[in-house]
Amino acid sequence: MRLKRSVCALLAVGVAAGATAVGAGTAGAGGGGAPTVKIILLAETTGESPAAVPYYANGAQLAADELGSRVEYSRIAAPLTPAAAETALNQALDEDPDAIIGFPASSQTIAISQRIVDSGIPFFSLSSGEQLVKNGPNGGDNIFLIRPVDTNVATKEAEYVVDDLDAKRIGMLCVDNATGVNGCNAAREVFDAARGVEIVAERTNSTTATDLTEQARAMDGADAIIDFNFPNPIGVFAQQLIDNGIDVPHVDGASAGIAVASGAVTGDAAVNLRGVDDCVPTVSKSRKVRNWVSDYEGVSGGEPPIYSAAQAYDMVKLIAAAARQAESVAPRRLIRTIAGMTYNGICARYQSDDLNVLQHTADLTRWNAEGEIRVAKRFRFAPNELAGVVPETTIPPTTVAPAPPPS
Amino acid sequence: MSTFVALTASGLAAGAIAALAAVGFLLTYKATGVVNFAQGDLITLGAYIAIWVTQKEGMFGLGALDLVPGYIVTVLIMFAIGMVLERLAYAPLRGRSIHVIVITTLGAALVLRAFIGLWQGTTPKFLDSPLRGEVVGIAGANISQQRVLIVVVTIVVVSATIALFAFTQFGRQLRATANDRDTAKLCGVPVNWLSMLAFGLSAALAGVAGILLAPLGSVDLTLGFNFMLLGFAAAVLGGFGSIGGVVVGGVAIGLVEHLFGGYVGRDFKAMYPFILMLLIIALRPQGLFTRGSVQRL
Amino acid sequence: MRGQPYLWLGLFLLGVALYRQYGVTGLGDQDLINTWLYYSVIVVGFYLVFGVSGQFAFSQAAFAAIGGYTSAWATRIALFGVDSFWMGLVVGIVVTAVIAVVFSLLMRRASHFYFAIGTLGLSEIVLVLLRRWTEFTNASGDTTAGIRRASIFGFPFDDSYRQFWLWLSALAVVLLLTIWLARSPVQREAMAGRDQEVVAATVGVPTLRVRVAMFVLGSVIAGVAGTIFVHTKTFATPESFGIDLGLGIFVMLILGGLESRWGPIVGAAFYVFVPQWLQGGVLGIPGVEFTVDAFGQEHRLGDFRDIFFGSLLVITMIAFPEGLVGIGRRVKSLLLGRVHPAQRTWLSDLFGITPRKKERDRQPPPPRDDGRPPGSVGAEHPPVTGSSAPTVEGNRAPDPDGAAPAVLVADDIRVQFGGVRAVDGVSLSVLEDEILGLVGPNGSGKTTFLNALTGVVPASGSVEVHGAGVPFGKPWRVRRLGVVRTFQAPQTYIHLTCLEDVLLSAPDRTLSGMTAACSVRPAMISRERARWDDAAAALEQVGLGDVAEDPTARLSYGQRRLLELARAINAQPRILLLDEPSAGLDASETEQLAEHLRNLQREGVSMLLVDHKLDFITSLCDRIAVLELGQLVAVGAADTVFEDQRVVDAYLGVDEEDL
Repeated sequence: MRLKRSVCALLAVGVAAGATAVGAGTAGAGGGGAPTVKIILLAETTGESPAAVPYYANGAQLAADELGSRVEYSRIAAPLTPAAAETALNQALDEDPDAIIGFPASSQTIAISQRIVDSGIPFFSLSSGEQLVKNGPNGGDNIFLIRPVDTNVATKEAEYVVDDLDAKRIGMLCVDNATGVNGCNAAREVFDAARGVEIVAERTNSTTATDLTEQARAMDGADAIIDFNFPNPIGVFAQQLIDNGIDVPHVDGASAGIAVASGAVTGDAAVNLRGVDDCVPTVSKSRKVRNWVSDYEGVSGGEPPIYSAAQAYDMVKLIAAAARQAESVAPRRLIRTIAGMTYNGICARYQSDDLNVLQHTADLTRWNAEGEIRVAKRFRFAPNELAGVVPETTIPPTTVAPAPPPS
Repeated sequence: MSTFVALTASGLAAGAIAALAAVGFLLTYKATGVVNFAQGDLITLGAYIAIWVTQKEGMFGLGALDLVPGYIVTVLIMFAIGMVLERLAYAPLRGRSIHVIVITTLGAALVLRAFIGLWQGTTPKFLDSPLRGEVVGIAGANISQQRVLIVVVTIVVVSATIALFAFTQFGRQLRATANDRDTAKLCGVPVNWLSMLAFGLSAALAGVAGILLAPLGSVDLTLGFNFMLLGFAAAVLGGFGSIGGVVVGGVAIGLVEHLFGGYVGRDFKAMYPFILMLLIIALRPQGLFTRGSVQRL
Repeated sequence: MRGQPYLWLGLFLLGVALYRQYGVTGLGDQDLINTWLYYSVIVVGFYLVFGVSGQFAFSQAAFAAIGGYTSAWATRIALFGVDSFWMGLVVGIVVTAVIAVVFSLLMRRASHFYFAIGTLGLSEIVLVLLRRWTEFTNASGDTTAGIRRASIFGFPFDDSYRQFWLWLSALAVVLLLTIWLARSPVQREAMAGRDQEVVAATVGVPTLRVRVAMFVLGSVIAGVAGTIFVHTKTFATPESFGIDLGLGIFVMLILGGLESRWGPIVGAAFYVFVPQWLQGGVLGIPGVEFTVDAFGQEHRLGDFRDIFFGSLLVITMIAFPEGLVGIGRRVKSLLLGRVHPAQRTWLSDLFGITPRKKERDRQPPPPRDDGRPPGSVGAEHPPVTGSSAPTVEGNRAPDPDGAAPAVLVADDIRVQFGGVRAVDGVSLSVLEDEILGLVGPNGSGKTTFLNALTGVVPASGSVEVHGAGVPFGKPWRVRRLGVVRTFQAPQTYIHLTCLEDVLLSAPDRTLSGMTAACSVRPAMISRERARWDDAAAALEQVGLGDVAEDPTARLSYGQRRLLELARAINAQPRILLLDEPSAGLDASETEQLAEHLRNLQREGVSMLLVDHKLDFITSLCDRIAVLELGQLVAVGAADTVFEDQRVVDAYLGVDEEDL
């Protein structure tokens, strides 16, 4: 409990909107002739709310520290409800940023997507709801999806259950929010279409459930279980499956890694469990990634270097690289540059497809009985993998809509 | 049949934790007339302290303890925290209106939760148990031994609490204080000491609940809050007075959620305990097991 | 400040509007202001529920959710064939109100913790329904999107700048309501029910109705806030109305101050803006960051939001329970050099005169014969006034044959506490115009007997007043039949002035409800003025005219006794039950009291007088009844009853030191 107080002057973060002329493209040059790019992260971190996680803030901060004067980075706390997110977004826009990284929950981004699109400023979404792809109902030219589209991942998981695990009788568990509902909907489509596959049970649970006996027992007779859930219920559920003698593969999403890392899932439960992470930096053999892992662990205060941290880090770096390549921070130039560039980051090789999705891989992870992680399979998503989306080649002019004056 | 048994076991275990939470705030209620709304976060804190004591470098880098000694140390620490809490958040307000004191416990709850978040982070953690992964088969159903342990420990702890009330000087004094604080004070009952003890015991019970509950899944900041609410429901069913009644109340709400809710309207089972509670408040505010009419709370 | 609430409201609204016009720096800034207004509206509702009416409710957020989701549903399915925002608003209000009424009535026997726990339970139920009942919420995942945009007469509230006006109007309406309630009988009755429910009920305040009405109003305000919220955002999630908001509402009211309608607004401002300042550097100065290294992680001040507010809640409760508004008042009175801030009632403010001045040129009160409950005294007797001459002659001789009709007949009254029979089959009648003494040793059941008669404790037996049966457990029914009582220990409402305290017992209760306060204000105010005249006169009559505007908490013990008497006089009872009125009074005060009681008797009030002072009793009473161990030992004329040996044994022999 070392409490060291230090008053330190950071970079001037809150320059009043409109007061200074940090206009698009006219900002003072940083190192090497590249313009300083102003990036705002919209995410809460530990302490700001009980549900907040520190990964995004830590990762982005690490990148900003490394880039020094090339970026002007700040963070605005965006509580997890859409309404609070809207306020945070508007506050961010008031500060006239060049790019925004934001919103861990897709419900936040989807709810206020119109405002994001209207602003015209490049927006990098930390969540990857299918509705947010370009030309999707909530998408736009300036909204980039960092992660693979979540329903694509769910579909791949379901295909893995059918094809790789060769399961015929499948149990489903869905947590009662967007993760569970959207994931289960996508998976159900795969199962309905597959020949000879039967869903033996479908159950729901709350994010705070501590007893899933009923749900676990309902899975009796399944060859495999697919589960779209939060970390805590995964721990409960995996253990209760084993307790009740249901010793079959149990496929889950990104939360599985957190559940296993917490220590809640070990032994047979861990062996049965499969998770999907966008990337697993800790198992990478690349020196670049391993250096990053040790750098991150140096600043994170013991929090594990998971994919979210890597992605937030990558995005700050990617934006800076785009600004350097474009030699401008004008939104249109920036968007066009990002759309055309390839960037090798810590988590993935990012390349925008016509849906504005940047990452096209995800790792299926497994564990041994001690909880050690390994990547069992790499999912690859073809560009534009949502069927029926017409590629758009031109980027229509978008302008920074100035906030209308109070009237 | 085996499903019935398994769901009954779930209900009993959930009810036992709710009963522990309820007995916890019943203790402070009897000693001070205050319902402690921080009880849920004390349960969470108990789980985190146990994690702190038994994992990595242990507390203050003194080395991690084994599980059972770690549990005992945790309960002792919680006891001390309860006493401190009494000094900080309750003692300065003695004699003030009940609303004032309850709001203060709400403030204490906010501080506790935020403190845990800063201290331990929001990433889920896990507390191990010696019975991890062990199951016992009853009528074809595999019941995890942790759930059996929850029920057994609750029975022991609650019996001890009842005995404490019935047969010890502390219990008599506590009952006297509950009845009439001023008179008890005049009769030489050390009421300050007594309320510190009651808060300490109450927090220790929260620690026990946290330790028992945590190994079922993983631990995060919301761990205790739900069980505090269920504890309220249990206390209301039991009439907010007798510890025995509260235990039966806990079992009732556990069974309503897990057993009844396992068969009927599954998706909505989380609200059944509260519907039952509202019905009890409306129709039988003195609780299910108290005879005659009791003064309103 | 108290005197000009409308002016202050206008200035406040103008100030906020001007700030929006010239001070707002952008959409984010505007959003924060809108959030502040949203919270203010909800918390003003909570101020009515908790601050004024003392109901410990966690349900504001749940009712906001009920209102919002119901309205979203109604506009989505175009209920009644229309999908307008107005229709949604009305449907939201109606549904919220119905649920609030039902819930409040279900909880009618619960108070304090039970009520708090009940509202927590309701919140949990609502949250489960919002998460799972997708047919109703139309949610995909957890977000209900595409909710109809709020618009009024075709004017869409489609950006934060426009939505501001909607929020400001809502807050204006809500604040206006609080002013109206404060300047009507409703607020004092709610506060009386909050502080002294039993006493309030025995002087005729319909405490349950007032409590339910306040709960429903506060909840409907929350429902309206929720409705506007979802229709301006056009999306909703259950988490927006979760436990965070529930706790935040508490924090805001307590920090701001729960004794003033401005408390919610100040508290909400604090809750919304202070964390922003903490985030953006120290005191909003960009670039000046205050960081704290805790647990190996560097934190900004903003990261400690919950610790900050939680600690503030504790500190507030310990050090300044009146909140920020209270601190402001203290500072103000310190600067102005006043020890006590002005404590004038709104009536005095309105009429611009104090009761004493008023007394000199007082008009006879206007006739009040409409809407009176049957059996109340005003119809038959002239109202009690300070200058009224005795209307009935002299102190009459007792009527041993019982020729005078009985006005109150209690038959076989039994009260049992656990195994103790506190009152064990007492039958006793009070005759017309008599003062009946009731004596007995301590613990003989005198007070319990009064409690049983007035419906304060559960009892069996039967009570008839003027031939009409009275059900037990309904104090207001007893009061309506003209029976009024006083209490052994003087019971006053510490948050009211003496005048308001006395006003509570006014027999004329027409136009004293919430509806009247919000609709026919001129008629209500003229009623109030008449009641106010009577109350001032009653205070004057007992010699408390000078302290009429003082809070009752400031009175001495003897003055509180007199205040109780004034309350009883103002109630214009036909039957008065007095519980040890002379306790704690010195000889001259006791003599004064006796004089007041004789006056009342002359005006035709029958009395049942419990007391320990034998000379006081014998000089006043026509007959005396003696209780021992819950049973009636003797009833007889004042001068003969003490000759009965049983009475001597039971009473004088045992408990002499009490006399």
